[in-house]
Amino acid sequence: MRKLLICAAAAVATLVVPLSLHAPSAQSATIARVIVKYRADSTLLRKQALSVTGQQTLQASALGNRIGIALDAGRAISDRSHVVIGRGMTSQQLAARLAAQSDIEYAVPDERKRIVEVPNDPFYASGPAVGPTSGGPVVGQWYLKPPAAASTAAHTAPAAINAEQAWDITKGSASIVVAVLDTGLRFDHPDLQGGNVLPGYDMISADGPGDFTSANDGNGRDADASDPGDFVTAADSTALGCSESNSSWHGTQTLGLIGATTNNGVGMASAAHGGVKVMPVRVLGKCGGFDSDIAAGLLWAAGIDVPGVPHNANPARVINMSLGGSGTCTQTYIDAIGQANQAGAVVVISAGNSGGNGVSNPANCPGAIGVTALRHVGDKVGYSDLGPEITISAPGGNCVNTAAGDPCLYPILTLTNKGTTAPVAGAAGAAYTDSFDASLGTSFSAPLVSGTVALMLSVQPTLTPAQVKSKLQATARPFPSTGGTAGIPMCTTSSTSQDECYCPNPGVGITTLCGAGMLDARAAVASAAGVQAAISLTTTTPTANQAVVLTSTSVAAAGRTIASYQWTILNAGTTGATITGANDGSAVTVAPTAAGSFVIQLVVTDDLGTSSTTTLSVAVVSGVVTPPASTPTGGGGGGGGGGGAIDAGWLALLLAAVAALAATAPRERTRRIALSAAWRRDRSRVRSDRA
Amino acid sequence: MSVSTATRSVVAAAAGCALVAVLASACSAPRDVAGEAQQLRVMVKLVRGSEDAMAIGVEASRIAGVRVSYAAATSAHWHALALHCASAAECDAAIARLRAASNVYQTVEIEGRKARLVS
Repeated sequence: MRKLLICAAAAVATLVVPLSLHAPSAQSATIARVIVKYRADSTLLRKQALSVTGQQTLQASALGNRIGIALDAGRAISDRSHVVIGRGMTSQQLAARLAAQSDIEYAVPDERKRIVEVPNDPFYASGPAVGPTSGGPVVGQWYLKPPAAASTAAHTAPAAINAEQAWDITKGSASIVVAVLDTGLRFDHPDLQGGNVLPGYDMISADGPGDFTSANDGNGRDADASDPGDFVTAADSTALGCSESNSSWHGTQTLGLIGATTNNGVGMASAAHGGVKVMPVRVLGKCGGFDSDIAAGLLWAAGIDVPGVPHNANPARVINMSLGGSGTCTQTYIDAIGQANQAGAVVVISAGNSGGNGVSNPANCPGAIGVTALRHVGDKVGYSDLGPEITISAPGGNCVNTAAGDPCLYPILTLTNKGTTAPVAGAAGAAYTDSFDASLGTSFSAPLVSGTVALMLSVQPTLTPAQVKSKLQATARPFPSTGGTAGIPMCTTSSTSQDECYCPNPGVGITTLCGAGMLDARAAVASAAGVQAAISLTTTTPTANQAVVLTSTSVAAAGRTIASYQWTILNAGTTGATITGANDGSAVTVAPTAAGSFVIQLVVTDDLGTSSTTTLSVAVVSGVVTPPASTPTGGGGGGGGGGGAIDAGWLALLLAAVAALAATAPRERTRRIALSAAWRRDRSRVRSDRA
Repeated sequence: MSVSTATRSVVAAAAGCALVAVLASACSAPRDVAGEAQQLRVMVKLVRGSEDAMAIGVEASRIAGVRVSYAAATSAHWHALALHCASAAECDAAIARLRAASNVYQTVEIEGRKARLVS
């Protein structure tokens, strides 16, 4: 009997599956491999007195029965996750079918992976040879690598952001522009010759009539965003009120981290792999820059016009600001960041370097993505500021050993220029920071986030700034609570400055101080690459007793397609709303019978098995009810009489239902046959395994 | 009225306005530049946006009671101004007067400088 049932099921499945999948017969020999993870509350996880392999064989079988496909269990991954193997379809198709099951947390193709492509830029692996006064770091661009690869025999580096594996998903889109509000740029650096650098703008205005001390280029705002140097002489120090210093080439350093040409065999790699456009906006000169110029640069970068300045034809989707000052957020920045966000720009700002005090302005402003700096081991580095306004943390560079003359072990290697005052022109002036001229600061944490955001937008340009922030936070890795210098405390909400400390992870009753966790570029970009569910209400005014049509306006990531739709009424409320016809198409018809509101959910799954869910609350107004003369109207209320003619809305509803039924009936009938046979097969297999 | 007459009238009016503006600016400055000991930059957000730098400066001088020079535009609503005062107290009073003019200024705040964040 058992054999008979299995044969029947197999016969039906053979007939049904190719039809339901519209799969060409050539695919019948295709083997699909999918990794499934069951939800924690899945009934398929009920413990049996079996080995893990035995349990997962049962689970695969039961799962297969639910979708009418024979599935075998493959390799176990965890107690809730294993590989399932099916035949006659692609892994993508099987993953899409499985992902739509309520018991499944996720289902993704079990694909072969090649060795991850590591860029051939020499300093990615290791900085220049370490000498007495120059070279290093030995760990190269450790901060871009996977944490395991960034670790050495002596040190682990869990804070490394894993941009390397994010590049497997995308190497950046030239349609995404990252603006870098900083000191300008040395355009002639050999590692910026990949054709991805836009001219930008110099937004530094005069200090006073005819006084261009801060700007140091002899003029005010103009189209030349090159960096003439921000060195401060004794006279400048007196005039502007800051300390004497050499030129920093800070804008070249921060922009290089985002957009240096990558895999060109020269120098360094960058977080966005040189694939996105980068645009310098010069707002900092000698002794920094004024709020008015910075806010103007912010608006202009986002494509918002600034009086007296030509329109920016290349609006930025990401704006990096490795700058700040003390104090609470001012209205100038609240307005400017808000407008930039409204224009679609993600604004990433460094937390500040005042030694563990409150977050600097404007990183503490609403709408900003504030970034705290981490040591290589993932605890907060001493110089970095922190507070509840922070979104996420990323490496900022740290030295580990501090004896005089020792090389800094974990600095952030990036582009610079050899000039101490004016720039040294051309290749002769090009240089990289290293273990002795070390780049350290939250200035270098923010560009790593900006580069990651640029990759996220490259695969999913429809993401809003709020969605980007949410995905960055959701995909961040937890902060460690070990590995730091012996005896360091947890960071607290104390108003006093805090040196190195362990960042608190999010949790109930916990105030986060370094954001949601450590930046994980690979996870953030993978999250962005997924499908985005969206619902559009097609019916203008949903009315009781009339068909309400809702349409999916979901968007798949570049190169992906939407494989399935699943509509569900989550809460009918007082409307009595039900779905009429198919609930697995790109549109759905709902029949409310009374006024009120209902909530509908749409789950879409792309061809890689990634799902996205959204809900929509739909308000339904009362219709003009014209009951038949014989129908009692009940107590109270007016309500005129009427003829017995059928209401136009009901007629439309009826026609829609009939059409939907006609379209789905054969498929539904076939599915029921398959399920029935599969159910019998499932029961017989269970009996067999238990025996 | 002929076109040329109209044009002359407009030009004359504009020149007159400019003269009035210059005079107003001069009149509103309580003391000469040599006597100014303090310069304080502020950001103002106009209730009604404008891109007329001269008019914005003149009006700010009138309201603040000190000489005000226009510094930079951030947007049509936000502008940077430099207050020239004899003392810190005079600048404080000037800012208070600007803030009190809520029909002209939605926000008045002291402008700061920001620096690169290297350790």
